[in-house]
Amino acid sequence: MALSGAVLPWITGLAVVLVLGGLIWGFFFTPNDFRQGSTVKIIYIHVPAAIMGSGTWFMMLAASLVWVIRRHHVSALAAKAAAPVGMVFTLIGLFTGAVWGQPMWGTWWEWDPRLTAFLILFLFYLGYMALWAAVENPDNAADLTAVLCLVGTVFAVISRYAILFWNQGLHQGASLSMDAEENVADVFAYPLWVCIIGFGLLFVCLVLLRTRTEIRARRLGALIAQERMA
Amino acid sequence: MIPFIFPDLGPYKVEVLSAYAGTILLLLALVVASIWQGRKTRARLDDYEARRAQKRDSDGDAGA
Repeated sequence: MALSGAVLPWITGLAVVLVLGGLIWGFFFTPNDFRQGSTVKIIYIHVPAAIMGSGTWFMMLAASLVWVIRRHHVSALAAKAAAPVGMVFTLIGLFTGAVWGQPMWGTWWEWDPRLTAFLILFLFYLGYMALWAAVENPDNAADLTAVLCLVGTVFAVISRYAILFWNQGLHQGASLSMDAEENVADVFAYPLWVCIIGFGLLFVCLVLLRTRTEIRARRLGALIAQERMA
Repeated sequence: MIPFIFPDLGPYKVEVLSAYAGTILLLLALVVASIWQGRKTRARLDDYEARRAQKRDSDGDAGA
């Protein structure tokens, strides 16, 4: 708690600077795309949000595995704390994707593998949070949600790599990749990287903040239970 | 000084602005909810621990 309390203000400050800086750079100081027009500016929120949407689930998977193997309570609480953050990022990815898709594809939604997997991932986030809320015993809730997290990982993987598994659907491949022959142009890529790092740091600071809250809530619950037993 | 020029969003003005507005609203709601929940839980825990310490002290005084 002492370490997270010390680093939290620094990470928060850096996240705010990078998110605002990246969005302002992308929105105000990059040109329109010759094919997509000004809708290309949606890339600075859609791509980072989608990366964090599925990335959060992988973090929750890692934390759930630590809980299952080592019974480390903080890891279970970190997974619980991350779920609403991942849910919001996934929702932003779905929303901005639909708003971008309408003028470019002519439709708000298409049952394409990547989009469908991402929608299912969003529903998994809702189910995960509902399960935590529904089970009274926190250890039982951590066990059950860890299993749910393992199952949901299938959709997190599909949502990220669907384009490699099924070469079909409206959604394009990765916009940025280390080994791709064709990436987005540098003028779009630089602010996009700033936004991706900013969203990543925003995720870290929100998860730290929420995990600290969960730890305090857990301590409060334990104290109340202890008093009742006495 | 660089003059402030709002970018020309052309025919997609509504789409781009609504995507940004929706994202900012959702992120703000998440941040505000996280901070509010954190403060509320911290206040409850501090309050509970203070009452507990007070009770312990008064029990100790009564025992002496």
